[in-house]
Amino acid sequence: MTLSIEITQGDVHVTLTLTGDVDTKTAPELLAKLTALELSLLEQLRLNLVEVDFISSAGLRAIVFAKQKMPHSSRLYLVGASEQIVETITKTGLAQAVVVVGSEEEI
Amino acid sequence: MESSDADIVVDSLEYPASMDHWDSFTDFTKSSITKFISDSSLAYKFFLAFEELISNIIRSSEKHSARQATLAIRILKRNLDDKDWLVVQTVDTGIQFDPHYHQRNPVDTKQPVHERAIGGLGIFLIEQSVDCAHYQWLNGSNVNEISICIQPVSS
Repeated sequence: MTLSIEITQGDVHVTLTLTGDVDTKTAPELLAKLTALELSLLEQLRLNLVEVDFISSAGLRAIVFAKQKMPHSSRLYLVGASEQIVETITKTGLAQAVVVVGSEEEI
Repeated sequence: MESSDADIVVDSLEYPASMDHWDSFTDFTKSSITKFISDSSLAYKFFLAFEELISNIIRSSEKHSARQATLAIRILKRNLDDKDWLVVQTVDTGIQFDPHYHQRNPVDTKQPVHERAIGGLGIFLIEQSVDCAHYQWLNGSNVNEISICIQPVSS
């Protein structure tokens, strides 16, 4: 399985649109893209997960990494995540750190 | 869960425990899981547990690369207590590692994310995603089993 990541710079946010699975093999690619952002200055990060079928703990760790580097007042949106991915995020207690929305229009 | 003589080996696979074979391990097991579990939510959880399990095994093997470990995967069907179970068994020859399923301090899911440590999530997700997770050290190999009930007792 492969993962492709497209980065879009908005006025006040950055959107990463992911396609594929975020697992042990591919999560380092997500982590590398996140590390390249100036996370400490970023007030809003959007991860578009509409085309993502699977996220393991390796992917969750990348999300935790991003949120830990961002300012406390920042918002990290997970856009269009599947029911199973939302369940995993909720189960691990990470729902407190992110905002889950169905589409970017809801932001 | 104790293995049984009535185990039916549905399929099996063995390769060196390295990331070079990641896709072979995951494609093989995902295919088997979806063959036997029609509920997509259940299949997702079972595959998630499997992914977390082999992630630990392969990363450990690559960390201790002086000792080339092998990883065998067996897909089993088991009848126990009048229930049918789908079992994924991994046998690896890496260094001995007991995950201590359900005996570890649980992940504090209420802990603020800024204070979160990195480790422990994988085993936590295994425990949360399957009906049974079991480990034993047998004949010099780590043997892990994750199981899910695929046919509840009819009332």
